[in-house]
Amino acid sequence: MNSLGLPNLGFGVGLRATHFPYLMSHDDPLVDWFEIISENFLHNHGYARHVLATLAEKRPVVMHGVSLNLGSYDPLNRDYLAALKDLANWLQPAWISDHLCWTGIHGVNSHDLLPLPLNEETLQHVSNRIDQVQEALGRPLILENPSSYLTFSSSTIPEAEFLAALAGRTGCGLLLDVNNVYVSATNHGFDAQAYIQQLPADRIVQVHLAGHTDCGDCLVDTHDQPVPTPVWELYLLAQRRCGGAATLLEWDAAIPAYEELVAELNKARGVLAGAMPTAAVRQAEDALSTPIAFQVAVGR
Amino acid sequence: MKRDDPARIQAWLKTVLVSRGDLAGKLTTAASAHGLALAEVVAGGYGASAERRLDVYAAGYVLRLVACLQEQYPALTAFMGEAMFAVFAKAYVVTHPPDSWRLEHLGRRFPEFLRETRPRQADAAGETFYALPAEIARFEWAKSQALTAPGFEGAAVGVVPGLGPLGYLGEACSVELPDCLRLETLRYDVPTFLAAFGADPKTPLPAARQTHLAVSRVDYRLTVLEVADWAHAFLVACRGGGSVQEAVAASSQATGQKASAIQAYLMLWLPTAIQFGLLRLR
Ligand SMILES: [Fe+2]
Repeated sequence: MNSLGLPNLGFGVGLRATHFPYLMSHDDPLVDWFEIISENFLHNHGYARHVLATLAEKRPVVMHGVSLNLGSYDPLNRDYLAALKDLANWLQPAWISDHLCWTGIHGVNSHDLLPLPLNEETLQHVSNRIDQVQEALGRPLILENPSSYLTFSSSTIPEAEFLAALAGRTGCGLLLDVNNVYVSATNHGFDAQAYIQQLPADRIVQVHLAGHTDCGDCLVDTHDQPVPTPVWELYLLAQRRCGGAATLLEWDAAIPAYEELVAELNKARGVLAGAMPTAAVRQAEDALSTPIAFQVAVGR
Repeated sequence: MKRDDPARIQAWLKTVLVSRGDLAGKLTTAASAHGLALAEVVAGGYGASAERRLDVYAAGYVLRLVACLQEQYPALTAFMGEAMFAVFAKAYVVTHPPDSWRLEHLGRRFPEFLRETRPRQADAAGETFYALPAEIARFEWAKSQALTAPGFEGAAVGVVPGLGPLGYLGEACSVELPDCLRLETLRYDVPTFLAAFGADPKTPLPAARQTHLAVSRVDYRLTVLEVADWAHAFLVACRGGGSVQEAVAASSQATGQKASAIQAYLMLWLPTAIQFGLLRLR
């Protein structure tokens, strides 16, 4: 159990519109819990919200956001925060998460998870913003490590240390994406296992699993693949360290049929029981990071 | 502002993402706007070059948004072909960088952009070829709005109990439209053309025909109904929230048809309008 008192929900998947037909025609959702992309539902009063209401009756749901723009030097978007709180009041999620990143500035929203310099100045800035978000939401924020492709000359604090400091200063929880750790570690040449060892284990509330693509000179976080073996190894390390955190499989492009997705998720149960899957990383000349087109699908 | 100010670095990266041109051009624009060069912002010395690292973000930004536009405009993508669609979608993204966290708002101005940027053609066939994409886009945008705005689900929908056909037109009766109703007047019969095009991509282009569409939702399913001039004017008037009689009068004035004729049409049409989720009576 983490020090935030949040439960280990077991094994879950990201809810995607392409799986609505399966989920609405089968009584058993085959997984322990669901993670939604909050933005898909904030202003959606159509079928997607109906599906969500149906599933929330059966299983716990977590709200995972991509638009908090936490690291930005634009003011926090109060309309967005209010909409997030409204959805949380209606849905009663187990927790709410977003990323250590920024998404836009000066009114532009890139719809990407952009990196920020990691130094004492940005640590103070992000801490203050997390304080404001937690006050607005009336609950702790769960913060995810992003995957990144560049680092800044002005960065002075390693990412794991930065996250640990944020958790210490603000009381926020951590969503440890072991695929992102692997991608960033490979791209920037740091030790992925040491990164996980440096995080405060009692703050890890959730673990993300996903696949990526090897473009030769860098790894790209494509969320369109089975989880490769080195990411499973980090998953095992993370679960051993934190003594069991909620597991979530993300799959956002070339999304397989629901049963296939669940079969991939269930490998995580196997890993904890000692069965390490053998899966290579896909190689490609080029690849799109952080696919989001699935978010536009409305399900009917 | 100092060179490593994080707000300045963010503004620099934003400029790189949204500027026109290849990466070198983007960097030139960002350098002149913010006085920062790639080498002083991005750390080097390990693995891929700073240019390559930045390009994962710069190229990904456009491709990611183009993929979203394809998802929002699937029929238009099929009509134009993926490659041609991507040309216009990229130009749109560069012209109108997203200004909202609401991803569904990304394509809001795409129909207008297509209309404004279409080549002007002299002959009728060319005119249709270049005008049709904007009209298809307007239809698809209306559909996506109708699918997600609040509808009548969860509330009792249908005729008011105890009212006969004449009761529809009583003074006390008012019409309520769902938020998800979209009224579009297109220059072509787009739904009919798209249905034919879906079955056979060699379907000839349609002749121009003004088409009033009411796009809505019933039990979470999309509905599309072509409506006559008088019904379109009636629904537009109902948006104001007046009584049935007031909307009939407005429709009469807009179309030049007698109010008594519109009342007669209305009696025949209301059950269909209710069935398609265009309105309910209170
Ligand atoms: Fe993740």
